[in-house]
Amino acid sequence: MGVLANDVQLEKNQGLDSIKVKGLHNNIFVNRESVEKSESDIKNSYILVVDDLEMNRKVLGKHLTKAGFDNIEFAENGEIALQKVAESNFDILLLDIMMPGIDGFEVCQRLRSQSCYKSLPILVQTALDGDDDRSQAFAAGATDVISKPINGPELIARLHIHLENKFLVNRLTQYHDRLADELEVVQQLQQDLVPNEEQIAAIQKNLSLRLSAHFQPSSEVGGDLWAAHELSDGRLSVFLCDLTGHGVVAAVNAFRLHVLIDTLEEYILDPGCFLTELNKRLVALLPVGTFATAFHAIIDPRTEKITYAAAATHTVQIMSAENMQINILEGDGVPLGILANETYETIQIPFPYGSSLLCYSDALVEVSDSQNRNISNQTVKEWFHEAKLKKVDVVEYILNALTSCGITWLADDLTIVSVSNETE
Amino acid sequence: MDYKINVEGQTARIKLGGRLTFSHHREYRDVLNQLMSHKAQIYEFDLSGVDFIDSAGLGMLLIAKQHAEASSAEVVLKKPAEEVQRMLKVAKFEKMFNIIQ
Repeated sequence: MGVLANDVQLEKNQGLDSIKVKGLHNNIFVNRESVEKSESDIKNSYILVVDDLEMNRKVLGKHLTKAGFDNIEFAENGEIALQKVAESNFDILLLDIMMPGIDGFEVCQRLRSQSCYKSLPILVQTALDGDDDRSQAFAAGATDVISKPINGPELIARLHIHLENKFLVNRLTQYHDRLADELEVVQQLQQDLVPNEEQIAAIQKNLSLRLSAHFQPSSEVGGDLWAAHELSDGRLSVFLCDLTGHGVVAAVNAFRLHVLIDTLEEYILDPGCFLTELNKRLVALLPVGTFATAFHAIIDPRTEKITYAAAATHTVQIMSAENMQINILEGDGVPLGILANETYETIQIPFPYGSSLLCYSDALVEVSDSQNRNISNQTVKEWFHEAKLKKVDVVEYILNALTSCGITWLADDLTIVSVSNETE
Repeated sequence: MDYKINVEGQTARIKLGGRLTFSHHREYRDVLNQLMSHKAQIYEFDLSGVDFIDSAGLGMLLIAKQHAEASSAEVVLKKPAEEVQRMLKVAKFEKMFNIIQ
């Protein structure tokens, strides 16, 4: 451990992967590699020393050179300092307060008023030692204040800490930006897994069915997945799946699941068999505690029937054409990916012309509105009914209803799919 | 999520309260380690105080089951409140757990 100044220390432990950096405004633990990289950055830091007295500039320069800093620029007043900052990309400013013309306070204020200098470390050196003066320096935007006469080791320690912070924050920002960029790409890839508007329109055109859908991962990417495939004889296969959790891990599992589905094409006409086979594969693939709820249906407008299988789905509703009565489909079943020998039953129900099917991920019924009322299957049922009465698209109606309830953010991924046995 | 652990002979009881969801995942892992450090034969999860469970919460129960079975112990789910009971029924958890009302 090397004590550099009263309240500033850099602690290294060779046996650990992290290094503790303590300073006036921080007490952070950082990765060893980041710290080592920062140290090489620190040695090459570009420093601007601002002081109206030549003697002071020389003394400061000497302290800095002695500590290994040799990339130093000097300015003899506030005006020149501002000019130099505008022209070059300094890593830190060592700024005197009492100067004729533009003083240190004003230099700070002017720099902080520009967004590009908001995070530039400004180390103010002052002969003023009253608490008010120091407070005024911080209020003007100083990062830290050091008293004159300058104590060399203290100056270097404080300089070191602020440069360290600067480079670590830069690196974290870069890391964050890179992750955000990558997540955006993954999000797009995930959107590509589910049918897009054109594909939905093509299905509607080819089949005597109306199909509409909404897909929205919660934290950029998620574990929901849905698929629609045109089958022979005007039939449609619809598959909805919700993997445990959300975020990157759930998204990776959704990608794996998507690949698996493609290998199970031979079972697609028998939903029970399809889920049984998919389950076997998921048991081998998913870690304990991770599973998928799923619903698979074959919708046949010609025979006016739906053949389906479900694994722990309580979020599928059917509206009868005859009396507009809505029933929640029985979807009890062990979720996929838990029990290897579990089998799933294929069930057939009538789906006469005019009937509608609505299925959604449970995110929809796990939210509360702005008055803290839970959105339940019953609420969805009412929206479904209202949409049909108004003869509007039910998916769009539900999304609008959510917004009207003040719900703009969901904790989990949301998928809503509706299929109606009717033509436009 | 809140919890209280109580050990009596070969039975370790945990009373869970509040919501058991994805956002409690990390916290739950710590709680589970704490519970499993008591080498019991039966781990009893009292769910009467849990007012909401999502699929990640159900997953947490499965993780407990796996841990328990690794040392030939059993997980028992006790008194699930109405909403939790509904979720356990939809996912047919009675096939995997002994659920006591």
